[in-house]
Amino acid sequence: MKKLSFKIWMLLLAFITITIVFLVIFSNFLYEELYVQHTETSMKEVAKNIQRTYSGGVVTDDFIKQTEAYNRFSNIEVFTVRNPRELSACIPFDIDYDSLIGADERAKLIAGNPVTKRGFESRFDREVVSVIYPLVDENRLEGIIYLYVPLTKITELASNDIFFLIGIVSLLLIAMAFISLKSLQRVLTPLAKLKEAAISMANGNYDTRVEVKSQDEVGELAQTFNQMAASIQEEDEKKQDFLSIVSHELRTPISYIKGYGEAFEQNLVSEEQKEEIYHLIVREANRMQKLTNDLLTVSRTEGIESVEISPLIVAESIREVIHLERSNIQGKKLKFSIDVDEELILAADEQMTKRILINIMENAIRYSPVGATIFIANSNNTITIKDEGCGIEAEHLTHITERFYRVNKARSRSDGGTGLGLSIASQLISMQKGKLAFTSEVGKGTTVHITLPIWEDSFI
Amino acid sequence: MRKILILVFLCGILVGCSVTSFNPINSSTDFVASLNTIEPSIDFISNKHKIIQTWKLEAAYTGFTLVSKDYIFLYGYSLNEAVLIQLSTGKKVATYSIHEGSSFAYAVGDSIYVANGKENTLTLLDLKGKEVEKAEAGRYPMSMIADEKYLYVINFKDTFLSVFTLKDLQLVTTWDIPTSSHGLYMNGNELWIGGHGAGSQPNKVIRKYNLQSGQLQGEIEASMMPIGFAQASNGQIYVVSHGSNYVREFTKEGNLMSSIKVGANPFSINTFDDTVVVAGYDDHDVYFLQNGKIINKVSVGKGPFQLITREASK
Repeated sequence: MKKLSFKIWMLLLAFITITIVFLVIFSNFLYEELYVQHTETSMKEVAKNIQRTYSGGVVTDDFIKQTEAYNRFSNIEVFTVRNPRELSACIPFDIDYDSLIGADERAKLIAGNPVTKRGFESRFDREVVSVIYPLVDENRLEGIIYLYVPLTKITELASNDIFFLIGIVSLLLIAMAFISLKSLQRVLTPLAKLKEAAISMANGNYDTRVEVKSQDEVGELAQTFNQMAASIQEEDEKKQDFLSIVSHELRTPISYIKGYGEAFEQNLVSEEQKEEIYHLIVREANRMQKLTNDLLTVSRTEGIESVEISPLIVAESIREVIHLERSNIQGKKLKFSIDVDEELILAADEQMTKRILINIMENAIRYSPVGATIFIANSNNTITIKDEGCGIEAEHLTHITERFYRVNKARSRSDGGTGLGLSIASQLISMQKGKLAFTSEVGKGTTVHITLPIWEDSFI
Repeated sequence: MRKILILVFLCGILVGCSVTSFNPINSSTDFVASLNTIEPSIDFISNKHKIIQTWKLEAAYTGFTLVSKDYIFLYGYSLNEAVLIQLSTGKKVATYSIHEGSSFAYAVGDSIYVANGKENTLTLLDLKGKEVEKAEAGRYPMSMIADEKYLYVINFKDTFLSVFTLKDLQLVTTWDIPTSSHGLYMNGNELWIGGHGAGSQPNKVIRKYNLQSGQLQGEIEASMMPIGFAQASNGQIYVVSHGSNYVREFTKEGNLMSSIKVGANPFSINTFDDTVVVAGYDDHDVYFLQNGKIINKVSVGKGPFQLITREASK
C-alpha cells in the first residue's frame, strides 16, 4: 500500500509534466500556425511580385539572374527553374530522376494555380515550407518560381540552446518536485503526527497531545483531537477515582467486620462489649448494602434507554417521600414547610422522580441541624427543597453531582452518605429532560431546584 | 426470386467477361489516332481534322501501335494483359497474357515486338495472342525501330542499344549510347537517336550512328529533349523536342530548315496526309502543321501521349 503523500506527490508531478508537455506542444502549434503561416504569406507576396515580371515565352537568363539577385538579399530561398526535367515534363517516361514537382503539382501549375507544400523535401534534405508559382505561357509550363523556408522544428531552432533548454526544463521539474514535496510534507506531517498520537492514545497514554501549528482543516483536526484526548483523559481519571473510591468505601466496612470477626474468633471481646460490636457490624453491613445498591442504581441508570413519562402529581410524590423518610425525620425532630401547588402535574417517570426526591431529601435531612425546618415549594414546574444546614462553598457547588465528590474531603462515615446520591439524581433528571440546580449560602443552608417538564394535557 | 437473382448474377458475369467492343472504323478511312493516357481513351481524327470516333478505354493503357493497318495493339505499363483490337469491327480479337512493365510496342507486318521495362525483356508476339520469341535486353528497353533484318532497341536506363535479328530475336550486337535516349529515325545508312538527357542535364542533340558499325558519326543541334521523329512526304525530317515545345525541320543531311513552337510538352510526332501531326501532352491538343506553320488543332482527351496514323490508300 502506497502512502497518500506519495500518491498525491506523483499526481502533482504528473500534472507538472503534462503541463510542460502541453506547453511544448502548444508552442510548437503556435510556431506552426502563426510563424509558418506568416512565412507562407510573405513567400506568396514575393512570388507574386517576381511572377509579375515574367512577360511570357521562354524563361530568360536575365529572369533567372533577377531571382538569384533577390535570393542573395532575402532570408527566403528563391530560385527559378526552367529545366523541363525538374518540372516533371517527362512524367510519362520512367525517368530515374527526383524532380522538384510531381505530376499533380505540374497539372495544377499549368492551370495557373500556385502550389504550397509543407513537409520533408528530399532535394533539400529537410522539412521545408515551399511555395511554387508557375510561369505559364499558352498552356506551357515554361518554368516555376520556387520559394522555400526550412521548417525548422523549435528544437532545431534552438539547437544551440537545446541543452540549456533541457537543463532549464529539468531544473524546473526538479524544483517543482522539491517544492511540491515540501508543501505536501508541510500539509501531511501534522497528519502523521496525529496518527502517532492516536496510536499512543490507543496504547493508553491519555496525556498525548499534538501541536497545533496552523488554522486550516488539519489544524482544526489537531485541535479537535486534543479536545477528544482531554475528554478521554478526564473520563479515565474519573474512572480511576471512581474505582479507588469504591474500593476505599468498601474496604472500610469490610476491615471493620473482619476485625470484629477475628476478635470474636479469638474470644477477645468481653460480654459487655458484644452488644455494641454487633450493632457496629450491622451498621457497617447496612452501609455496604446501601453502597452496593447505589452502585447498582448508577450502573442501571447508565444502561436505561427508555423513560416512561406519565402525568405526575408532584405534591403527592413529595408526601410519599416524606412518609418514607419519617424515621430519619423524627430522629432529628425536623419540621416541614410544604407549599406545593396541588394541581401541578409534571411529565415525568414516577419511580425516577421519587428516587430523585428521596436522594435530595436524604441530603437535606442529613445536613439539617436538629429541630430545623425543611422548606419545600414550587414555582411553576420548578420544585425547591431548602434546608437550614451548613451550606456549601461556591467552588464546590459545580462538582457536587460528581460521583463520590466530597465537599469535606475528610468526611467521616458518620454522615452516612455513599457519595452517589446527587450523582444518581442528576442522571435521572437529565434522562427526563429536566434540570437540577443548587444555590447555597455557607452557614444558612442549601436550596435544590428541580425542574421537570410540565404535563401538556391534550384534552384541556 | 432466387432464380431471378442467379440470372442477374450470371448476366453480370457475362457482361463482365464480354468481349470489349468499340465503334468500328471503316477500313478505307484515313485517320490520326491519339492515345490519351491521363484519362485513357483513343481519339480518331479524320483527314478533315475532325474527331470521328472516341474509344473510352477501361484500363490504364500507356501505349499502342498499328498492326497490319486494321489492328491496334494496346498495352499498359501496369497491366498484365495486352489486347489486339480490329479496327474494322471494333472487336477485340486477341488477348495477350504478358507481365507488367510493357514499355513499348513496335509492329512489323504481322509481328509485334513488345519491350518490358520491368523484366528487361523483348517479346515477339503473333496476331493470335501467342508468344513466339523472347529475349533478354538491357535495362528498360523502350524505343524500337527495324530495317529488313534487324530490330534496334534503345535500353532507356542503360548505356547501350541492342541489335536483334528481326526473325528470331537473337542479339547481334550492342552500341554505346547515352542513357535516357529515346526516339529513333532511320536515315539511309544512319540511325538518328534522340533523348531526354541524363540527370539534371537535358539533352539538346540528335546523335547520328552508323547503321553497320554502330559508331557515333556526329551530332545535330536540336532543341531541348528531342524524342520524336517523323519523315514528311517532302523528304524532310521533323523532330519534336518536348523540353522546349519545338518542332524542328531538318534536311536528310541534318541541316535545320525551320523551327516552330507547337503545343505544350509535345511527346509524339507523325506525318499524315501532307501534314505533320504533333500531340501536346499538357494542353491536350493535336496540332496539324504544313510548311512549317500550324494549320489546325484538335482538342482530344487528357494527356495525348502517342499518335499513330493510317493512310488506307498508301
